[in-house]
Amino acid sequence: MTLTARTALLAAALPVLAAAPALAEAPEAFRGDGMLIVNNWGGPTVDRMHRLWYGNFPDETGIDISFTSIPDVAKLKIMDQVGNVEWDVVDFEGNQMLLAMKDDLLAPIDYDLIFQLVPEDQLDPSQMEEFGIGSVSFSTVIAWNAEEYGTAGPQDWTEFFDTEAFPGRRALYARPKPALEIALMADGVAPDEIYPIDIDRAFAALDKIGPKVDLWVEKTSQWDVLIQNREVDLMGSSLARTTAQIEEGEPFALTFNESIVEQSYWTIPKNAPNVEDAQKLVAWMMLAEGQRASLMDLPYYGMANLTALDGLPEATMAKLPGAPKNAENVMRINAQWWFDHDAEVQTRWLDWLSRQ
Amino acid sequence: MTQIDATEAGIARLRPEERRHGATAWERQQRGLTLSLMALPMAVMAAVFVLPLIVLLWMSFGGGSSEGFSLKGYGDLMQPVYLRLLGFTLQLAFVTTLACALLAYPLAYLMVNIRSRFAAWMGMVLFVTLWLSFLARTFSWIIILQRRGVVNNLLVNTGLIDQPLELVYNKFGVYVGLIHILLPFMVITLIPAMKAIDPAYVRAALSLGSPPARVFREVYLPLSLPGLVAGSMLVFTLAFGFFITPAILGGGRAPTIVLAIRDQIQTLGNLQLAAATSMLLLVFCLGLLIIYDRVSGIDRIYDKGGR
Repeated sequence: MTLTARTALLAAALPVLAAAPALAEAPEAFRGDGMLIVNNWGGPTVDRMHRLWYGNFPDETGIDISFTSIPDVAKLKIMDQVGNVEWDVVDFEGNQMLLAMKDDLLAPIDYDLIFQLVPEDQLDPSQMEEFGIGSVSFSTVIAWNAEEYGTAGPQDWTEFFDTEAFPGRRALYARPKPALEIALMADGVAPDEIYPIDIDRAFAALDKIGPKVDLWVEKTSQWDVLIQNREVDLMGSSLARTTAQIEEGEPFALTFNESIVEQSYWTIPKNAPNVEDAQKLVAWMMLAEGQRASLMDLPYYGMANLTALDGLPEATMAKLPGAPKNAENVMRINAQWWFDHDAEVQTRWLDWLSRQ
Repeated sequence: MTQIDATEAGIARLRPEERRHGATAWERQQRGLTLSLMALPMAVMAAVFVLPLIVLLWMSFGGGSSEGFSLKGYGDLMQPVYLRLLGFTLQLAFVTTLACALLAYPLAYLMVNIRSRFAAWMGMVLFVTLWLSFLARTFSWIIILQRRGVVNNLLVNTGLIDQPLELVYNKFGVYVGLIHILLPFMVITLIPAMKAIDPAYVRAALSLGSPPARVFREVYLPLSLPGLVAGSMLVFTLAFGFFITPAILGGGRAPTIVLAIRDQIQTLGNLQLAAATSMLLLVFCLGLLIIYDRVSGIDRIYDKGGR
């Protein structure tokens, strides 16, 4: 972190702490002991983000936290079957949560406890589910090599595949989600009219864009390598990875228009070693202060507490997918649709990809 | 040191009363010892190899799922896409094995037969790569093969080509990465097999007037075959199940059956289908083993080469 960013972080955090003295000490209901195992997506960046996020939770409550990775429903299912669940809190993607719910692996979120700590009206109601509450939303955006196209890169997915206006090499995720959504938007479907997906039309649209995609990306970490080496000029890439590379000085630019937003959730396995303390941590993670602190450090994600954005500097707001201006015309992944159609689409996708 | 008389007569002289049943008692004791020594390894083998396979078989028929037992896993498998993925994966494993064998054979031959510092260093370099993570080596190949990578920059800057070659994010890149990663395994299995070949056989054949090519074909190659067979089986099995290297270096153009298993588990949570697919892979590998057995005899792998 640069010195300026650190100063900005302090400047943003100080007035908040002064304004909310009641939160400096944890209520009695939040005391506990022992250790919580949080299963997250791993890596030093995520661990740092989560440490900033929970802040002084261990000091205030006496409950320690340690991290493992990676969220995996099949693994949880097997741990549950053999009666040895290791995770207390899991950061599941939307359809992973639905998959875990199908097998009855999750405990309902204790909203009464959350509201003891965080006023209900601060939380985004669309992220409050029975078995999970919003952790982060992460975005897939249109990004381009600014050395090639300057600031005038493709502004939507139709332009993204316009090979005359943008001759160059293209990369997308090698996954049907969000490739189907991207294909449909490229075919002229408005972001809010994607669902329910017309699967036949989506694959017909994929046939049109497929030949224009030079490489399909398997792992999120590949974006760093692709950007640093200018292997491609146009990408439907991870917002977090792309912004981080731009901050490192790579000449890339992106637009939030028609970006694809997917929601993840904090969930608690039903048979977790310490469900009660896990509820306390999840509630604590809903505090605006912690969310703001992690956004100051890694301004790439959307957060459940709507007031987390209050008082953030302009420069940070410009990067945040949750900032009102950036969230104007986005496509939100419908986890339920994917849960219902995954089996059908996945096989067809593999079939399609293996013929490319 | 006194000479111990270990002849039968000597033993007979020592313990005449045990002589009549001596041989059977010895055999019985030997068998008991073998069994007790085998018990632990057998138990470990059963626990970590056989048991998981039985569980996998059980799961492939719907064991542990909420729907109960069925043939659904195998039914879902009978789709053209899975057969195509299986076909490609077989091709990938076969070509990789062949290339590894062709590259590793001369390499191992040099390392065994030329005793020099060079051979020792070659071995070091080869085995050090085994310590590095697959992922790191996979990304290293990207750095070398990509459009602005080492190879392309060299070729373009020296004017040999105008446009960078497509060396990675296609099947070619996958083969390069897989062969590089699996080559040491082939060399490692070839070296002991070649070391066990008695050089006297080769010298004898040569001194009797056989041309070198024929000596190699009829003496050296057959004697090194067990090593080659063992190495090929190892490389084939590893290549068959490799997933992250084809996924990254292939740029989506080399989808393997293992990729399908990954999706079946992580995205679909369909453990039955994943187990059924895994059983299919297992059957193919076992089939291969049986073919090898017919061709060269599986027990020859455990031969000590030229004896």
